Amino acid sequence: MNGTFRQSMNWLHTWSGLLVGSLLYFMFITGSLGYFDTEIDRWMQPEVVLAEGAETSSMVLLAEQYVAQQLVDVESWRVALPVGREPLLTVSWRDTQGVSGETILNPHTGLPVAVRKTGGGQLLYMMHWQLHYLPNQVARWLTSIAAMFMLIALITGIVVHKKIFKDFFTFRPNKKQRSWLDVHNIFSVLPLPFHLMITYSGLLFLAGSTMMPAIITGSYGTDWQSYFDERSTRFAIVEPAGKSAAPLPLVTVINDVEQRWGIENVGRVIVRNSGDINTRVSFSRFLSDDLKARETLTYDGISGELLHDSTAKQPSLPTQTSTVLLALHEGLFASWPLRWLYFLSGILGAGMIATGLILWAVKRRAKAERLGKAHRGLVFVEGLNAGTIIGLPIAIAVYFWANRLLAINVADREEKEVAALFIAWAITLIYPMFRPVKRAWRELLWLAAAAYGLLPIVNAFTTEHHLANSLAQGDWVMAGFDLTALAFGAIALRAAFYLRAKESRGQLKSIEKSSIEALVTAPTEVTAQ
Amino acid sequence: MVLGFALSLLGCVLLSLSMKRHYGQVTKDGRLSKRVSIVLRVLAYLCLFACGVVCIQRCGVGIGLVWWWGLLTLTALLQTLLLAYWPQWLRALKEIVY
Repeated sequence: MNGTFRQSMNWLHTWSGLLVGSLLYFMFITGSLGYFDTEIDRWMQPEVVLAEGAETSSMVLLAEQYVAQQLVDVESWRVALPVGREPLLTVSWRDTQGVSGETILNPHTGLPVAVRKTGGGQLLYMMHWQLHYLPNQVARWLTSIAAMFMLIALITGIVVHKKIFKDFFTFRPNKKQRSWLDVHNIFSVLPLPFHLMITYSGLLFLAGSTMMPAIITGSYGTDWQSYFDERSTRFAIVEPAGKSAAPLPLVTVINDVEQRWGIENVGRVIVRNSGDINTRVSFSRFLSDDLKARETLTYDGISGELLHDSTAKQPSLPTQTSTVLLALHEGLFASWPLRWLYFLSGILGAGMIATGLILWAVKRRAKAERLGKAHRGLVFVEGLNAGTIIGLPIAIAVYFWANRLLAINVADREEKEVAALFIAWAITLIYPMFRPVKRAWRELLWLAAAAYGLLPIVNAFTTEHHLANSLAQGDWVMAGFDLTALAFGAIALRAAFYLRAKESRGQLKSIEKSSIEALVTAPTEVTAQ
Repeated sequence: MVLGFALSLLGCVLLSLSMKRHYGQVTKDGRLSKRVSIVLRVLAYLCLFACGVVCIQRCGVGIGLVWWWGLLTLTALLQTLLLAYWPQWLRALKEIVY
């Protein structure tokens, strides 16, 4: 780490990037898919009945009716309503024994809809900080450390990059290492505001409970539950008193909400301590016209009195700051064109990490060629790169395949889908270790092209939502998924063809070179004879 | 937002043309005088700024800023691809202008 400031920053940039590169790539890819979580949910549950034309208040009443007639000993229950991008009417509950359940209702009839069990887009999205198989706290530590290194890599990257403005639009294709550096710079610099925002805000959400617990402990001591309560929408919530009382029919409370807000934006209705004299009913809405938090009205479920209105008081400055950062990170407010910009920026972020990893290997490969031998670490990273950068997208495609191909009633269906994802990724990670690395890249790209390109066909054979149908019906969520899969398949195919052409060009060159050498040496041999 | 996109793309085209390297890529004869460069640059920043104004006017400050930076990212990426692979399109544009 000797030398100038810029050299040490370069060292830090290189090694902090390499150390957590694969994990960061995973976080960026699954996180980017999270911008389309409900759209992916919908594709993965094609049985769902759309709520077009159903009235919000009548849906709440249908849910109330379902809970009253079909369930016993319900302690608390929740209705998620189809507003904005959310297409489903979902009721979930917990009974007095602590057993919970969830069902999707037909928004017109209130009858439960039989849908396949799936983790859906929600699970993909939550993977980007929960890492699925790991215990919650371990995953939080790992992801917060990775986010920390990402922030370091971004800032040192800005220092190292000498000509941010001069090279702003610069891409020089077919120049080997130079081209990789150009692409790495483009993917880093053009969406830089996004990268800084997403990394900084992500780090803040995670670090509070891992690296910097003193921030919470300073104000709340060991009572972290009340911190989390305040951060969520639990206002004026109390323990059940143990005395039962007849709850007010929801329709009276709905009328009051209607007068204050209008009911059509309400997305969540939560009933807590149901049937107790401390029954609480809260209505939450999310307005997408500004970077705001969810707004909540909380009622006494027995008397119907309004107990708390979260819009009545201006939140504290730290709360506002964290709300704005969370809103920016999640982009819940974004309309679909802006959502695509978010997705693009996220994918560019993944591309930034991928090209950084490739650049690390390309530089050292060039040196190894000169020296005539490659370090074992280099060979390992080269294999890991192929298995991560192309392997992970293949594994995610396998997750979608599993959703369509697993039997509908198989036990633990959602867990089997995830298992398919991680088994596929494990295979694609191991595979390049046993292949010449160039060939591994190409073969994985062929596989990725097939995995994504054939996905709409699998969909056509297993559901009635095939592309022609969904386009004809103007069902843009279903059609958009299939078209995006086709686009990804086409990109992988293009890349595979490009690599093949490049390789045969390379072979041609070496053949030319050897034949020229033969021509040059042949006459001398003749004369020698 | 179509207007915002157009302004941002135009801004990126002009900004890249105010740089020697990219001006040469597009015009072939490649001589960029200091005066033309400054004029192009001022026009470019005006377009990019106007894009921000349009975004904030449509969506408010918070979401407007998100739109603005999102559009800048998208159009700068497009312009980079244009310069690398299809500089003749920009040449055609120049012929229309003159």
